[in-house]
Amino acid sequence: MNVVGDFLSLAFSSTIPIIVTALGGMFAERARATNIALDGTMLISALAAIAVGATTGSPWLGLVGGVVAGMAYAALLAFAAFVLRCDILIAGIAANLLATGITLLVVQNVLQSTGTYAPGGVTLLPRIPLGPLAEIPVLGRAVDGQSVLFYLAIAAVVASIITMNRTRWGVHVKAVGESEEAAEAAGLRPTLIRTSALLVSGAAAGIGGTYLSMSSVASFNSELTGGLGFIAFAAVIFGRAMPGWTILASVLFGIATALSIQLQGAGIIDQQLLHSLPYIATIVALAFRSIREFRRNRFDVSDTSFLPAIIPRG
Amino acid sequence: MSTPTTSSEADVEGAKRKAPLFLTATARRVVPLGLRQSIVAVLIGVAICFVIILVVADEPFVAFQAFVLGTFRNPYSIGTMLAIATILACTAFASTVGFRAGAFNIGTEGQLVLGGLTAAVVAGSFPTGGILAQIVALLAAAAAGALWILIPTVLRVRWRTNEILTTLMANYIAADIALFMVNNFFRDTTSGAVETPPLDESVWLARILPPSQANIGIVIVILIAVALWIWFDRTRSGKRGEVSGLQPAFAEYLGIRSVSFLRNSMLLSGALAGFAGGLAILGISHSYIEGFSPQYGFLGITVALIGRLRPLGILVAAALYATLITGATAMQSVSDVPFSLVFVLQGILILLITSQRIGSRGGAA
Repeated sequence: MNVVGDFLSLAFSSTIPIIVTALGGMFAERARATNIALDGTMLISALAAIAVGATTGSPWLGLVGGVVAGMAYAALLAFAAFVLRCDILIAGIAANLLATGITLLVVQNVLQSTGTYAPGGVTLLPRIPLGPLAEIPVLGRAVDGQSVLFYLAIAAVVASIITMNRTRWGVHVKAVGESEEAAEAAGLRPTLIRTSALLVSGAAAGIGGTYLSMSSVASFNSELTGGLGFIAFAAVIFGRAMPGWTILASVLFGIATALSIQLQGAGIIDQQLLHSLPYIATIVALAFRSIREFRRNRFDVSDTSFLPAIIPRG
Repeated sequence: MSTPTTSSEADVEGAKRKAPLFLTATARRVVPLGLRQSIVAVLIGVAICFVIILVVADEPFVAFQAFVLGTFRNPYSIGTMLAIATILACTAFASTVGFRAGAFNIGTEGQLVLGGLTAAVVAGSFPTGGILAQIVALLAAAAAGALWILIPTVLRVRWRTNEILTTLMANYIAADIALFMVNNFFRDTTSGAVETPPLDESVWLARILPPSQANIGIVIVILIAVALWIWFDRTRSGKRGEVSGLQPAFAEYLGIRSVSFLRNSMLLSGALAGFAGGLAILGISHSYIEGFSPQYGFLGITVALIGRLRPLGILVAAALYATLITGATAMQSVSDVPFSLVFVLQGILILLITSQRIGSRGGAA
């Protein structure tokens, strides 16, 4: 049973950065302010977290640094989208490119490292031992010694469900996403709500990025995320920006990631081809979504048109 | 409860409401406002770079001078600049063709990498050398690029799957596939790097400024520019494409098949990007080396936007941007500012140029 427990442990730790980031991205997506820069945000946050952690010696300040950096980066995206009025997808892509450039520049020039930045004396985020509870079969082994962010992720799951469905802000986000005109007519300010949703996604990606650089090994390079931000984004798309489905998709992608790590270790499948799995998953998710949407619209007769409503459109 | 409309549909929302369902083409996402915006954006971008250099460099003025003027130190680096500009112009044409049809092909990088690999393999294994091998290799590169955009194109044209996201993901997959192919099938076993065996000198594109890397690819690219200009401005199909790109629904009512224009444009875009990869391999690196492209594909998008999607503008913008790239290499050697400044500049430029506010007439729109 230890094998199952160990695999679950790996699956949990692979899911943490995906699910936290995806839950943040979900709010932005739901407000129709797509944050495709999740990956770049994670990268920036990971660097900020490790740099702050190394300077202050405190992992908690590192976490705060990562979250603040993530929010600042999301604010940049919001600035580009709402003040400069760029297309938000293009702005997000530019933000991803910019993140690679900034991290390379900072690591090479400011931190004086070549490629990989691995400062000494970084205290990692603590791992929580379960004590006697670790004796519970399978589950005890899976949860024992998980990073403290594991519990934060669980809190984020609960909080996101409540926020989306039971708070004023969550309802506003949904309203803005469904009909900007109606939301505006009801006295909401779409830009404000979208900006706040983007900031939430930035903070969440900040936690995800911090997890990458501060939980198991304290090192950073510009390929640290390995597309995890895009996996999180795929989870949002797959989950249609609804909490339950997004969580499910994130867990699935987390398990897939764990599986691919195990397979890489076993050397069954070529590492390079496995590496492209998340990107393929994203394309499949998008195709799946758009085909469904297309089919749905084909029989959607609710729109006013000159066709009698009884005749299916298309 | 109705489903939330996600990004994949957000951009086609307008089209969905107004246009019939069979119409999957959408209007252009990027409409450059004017020459003023390009100039303002480049000036602001370079100014921001200067500020960054001021902050990080020990000798900021030496670094900045190298960045802007480093290309003109000697004929050799001017040749390097021309060689890079050739590739940039070609990838920018690829982006432009897509943009004009209302598609944002951000996958030029992946198409370029696979095109480059194809060119290296075809040129390396072609029985005869010389011009024939070059032509076949370049055409194969173009075909590989078109093939790589095929799935995003089909998804886009048939079901409106957002091509920005699919082509973006395809970049990462292309990099993995290229690495896998080289490692398993085409690797030069005598080399420590991930690369294919060096190509025979007979299949290199002829150099025009030896010993620098400038090659006759530049002539090919100028010919492509002229051809595109004639197509865009002087032919019926170009004008129809213009209508399709700006107002797909209106084009349909005129009897123009905007969907097939979109499909053909996306395929042509991929082909041009693949072709650029072939030019880079046969003209510059002379074997497929991992990382042979310092993001030519992404840089091409920036160049296309600076050049305002016009063939002549793109040639100018490519020369300008190549100057900065060569300058960044010079800067890296004479100061402590790394080359990655170019990538920072690139992100900033895309933001500034796609902005609908900066440089528009009458200030804030």
